[in-house]
Amino acid sequence: MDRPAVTVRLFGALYALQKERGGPTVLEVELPPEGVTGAELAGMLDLPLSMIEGVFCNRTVRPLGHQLMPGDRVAFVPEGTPGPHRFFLGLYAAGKEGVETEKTPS
Amino acid sequence: MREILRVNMSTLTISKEPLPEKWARYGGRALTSAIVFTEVPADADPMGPDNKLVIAPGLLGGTSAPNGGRLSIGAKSPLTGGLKESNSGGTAAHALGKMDIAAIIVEGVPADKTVAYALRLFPDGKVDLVPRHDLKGLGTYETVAVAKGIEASEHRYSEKVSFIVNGPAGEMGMKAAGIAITDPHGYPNRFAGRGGLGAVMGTKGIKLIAIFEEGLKGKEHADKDAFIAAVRKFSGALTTHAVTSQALPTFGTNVLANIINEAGGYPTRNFSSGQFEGVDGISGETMREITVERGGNVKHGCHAGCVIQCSRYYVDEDGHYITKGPEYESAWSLGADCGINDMDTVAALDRKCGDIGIDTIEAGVMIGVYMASGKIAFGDGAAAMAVLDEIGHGTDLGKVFGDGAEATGLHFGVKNIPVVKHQGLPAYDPRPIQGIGVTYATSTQGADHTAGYTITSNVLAVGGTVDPLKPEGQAALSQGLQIATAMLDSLGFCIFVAFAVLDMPEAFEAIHEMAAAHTGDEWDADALMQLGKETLTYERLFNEHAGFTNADDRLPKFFLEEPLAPHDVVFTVTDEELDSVHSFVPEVAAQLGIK
Repeated sequence: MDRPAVTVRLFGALYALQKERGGPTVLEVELPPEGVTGAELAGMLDLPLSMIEGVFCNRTVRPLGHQLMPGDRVAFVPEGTPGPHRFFLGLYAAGKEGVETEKTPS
Repeated sequence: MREILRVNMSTLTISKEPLPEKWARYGGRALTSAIVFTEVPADADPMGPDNKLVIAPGLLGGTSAPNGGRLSIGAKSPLTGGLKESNSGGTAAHALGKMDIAAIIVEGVPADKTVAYALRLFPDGKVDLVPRHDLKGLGTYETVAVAKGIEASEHRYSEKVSFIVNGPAGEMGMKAAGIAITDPHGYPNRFAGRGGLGAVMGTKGIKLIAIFEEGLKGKEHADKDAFIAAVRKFSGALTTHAVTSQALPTFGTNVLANIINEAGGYPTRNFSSGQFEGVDGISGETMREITVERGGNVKHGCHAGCVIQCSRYYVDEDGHYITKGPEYESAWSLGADCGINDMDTVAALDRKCGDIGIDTIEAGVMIGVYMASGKIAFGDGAAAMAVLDEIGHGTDLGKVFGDGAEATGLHFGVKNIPVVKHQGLPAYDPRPIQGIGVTYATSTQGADHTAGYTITSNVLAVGGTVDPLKPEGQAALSQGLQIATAMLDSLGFCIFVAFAVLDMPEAFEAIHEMAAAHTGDEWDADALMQLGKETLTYERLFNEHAGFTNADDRLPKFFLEEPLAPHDVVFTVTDEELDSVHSFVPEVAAQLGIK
């Protein structure tokens, strides 16, 4: 039986950071059955929260307080996404919400 | 005192006139749209003598306003049939601004359709129009290479010159033809691409506009100290905000590829999927890695005074320049939308589009539609290049391709043709990103991604709550975005400044402080938004006079009927909500005294 995990992608400055570290930019990360928040997962990967504006969970932008569950598809988006997409995709809202709220899984 | 330079191609005469007082607060898009509204009959043949090509720097063009060197080119569009403003970087806007030229209006058509002319503007104010048969039919790069040496030596000026160049596609009157503008290094790689304005330039018989800059000084300000203070405030914001100081300078606009793909809104293979399995091959991250490895430039501005520096040069394996680093929309259109996942192939297609003078977005969407017909396979880069070759050679089939996605789709019987107001959609599928769908549907420009960026508190409030998959709030968000974009286009700002302004109120203040200190007029936040509204009102009314109705503000039906993977959603914003986007137009029209 496969161990519970999420697939994590890193974009932009986070991609560059991971490359500097010599690590992969697409990772499989094991999670506890109850999941972890985006902020906690970032901590597990040693990604500075100050660099992250939002986290995609199954292709929808969530704030870093969102609970990520095993089997989810995850991507961390750094600060600085250009275009109106910061609004249209919800990145602006996610960045403002930060890690303080939303502890429920999608 | 800003002036209008009027060039009549029927009589081959040139004149200058003061900018009318009623347009004293206008520049860039506001001015091109006001002039086209006023001087071009809405029912004019876009390819005939009554259409006019209007070229205008922003209100702050020629100053040191950070990122204030964008150029607007306007006309009645041969592609959409409506009023078009196409916006570009490059060095021409600042050069025109320094000459105190508010706009160049090119009108009429030459009696001899075989002649190619160069319009030349000199630092001492002299302007002439000379036949340049040697340039006819040349690609944009060769045109600049030939013209640069000859013009400089003939007039004993340095090579400090800006060129506005038409490619072969424009000379042949193709509806997807754009107009190239040279960048600070003299490459004709900045583009007023959308709406077929190259075809209008072609009907005027003008191959090249050369603007000699040697000795030109920056513009005077009503209050120099206040202007410098506002510039510093604005520059400080741009160089500290994450959008304008990190992502764009490092990865360019193509940093969006992975993000939009992850959101499921990256149109793939003629808008048949929202995710592209080959995105890694054409992403901004990959483009940077390739360019750095080959020794290419990965950070420079497309015009003087740009502090964001999101431009880059894509080079071959030997480090030789191929093209500008393809922008997000170009990498998408010539990549994912055609199923092509190789950056070198995308760059070669981008260079070809630039050289023949065809809009990269329209070209990629057109090729995607052609691939959907089954005539060539998705992912076949060589076949895509052959399509562009047909355009460049002006074959019968090439003329179909050169008229864009809709013409190609109709010719080959393709069911799903992704266009609004006859113009190809850019790089965001409107089903999982409903807000951009509202902008596509209702934009006065046809499907246009740049019609929506903002700085208003209203957008901040709404933008903090919308769900990209749901219709609620999207019309209000799009309205704010379109108004703000029109304002920035009119001042001459790059739209990317908006994102620093969003989070930094002092940056927004700096914009109207720069406008006020430069002009001596009163400018505040409300005045900026009014400028955007007036611009859209001219465009909206012109389109109404040209026969457009609310029925034209709709997406193609397949976006409403065919769910898009992976979100499996359709576009659900109602017609009533779409029709609310331009609710301000009657009031503003009354204020302007126009109908």
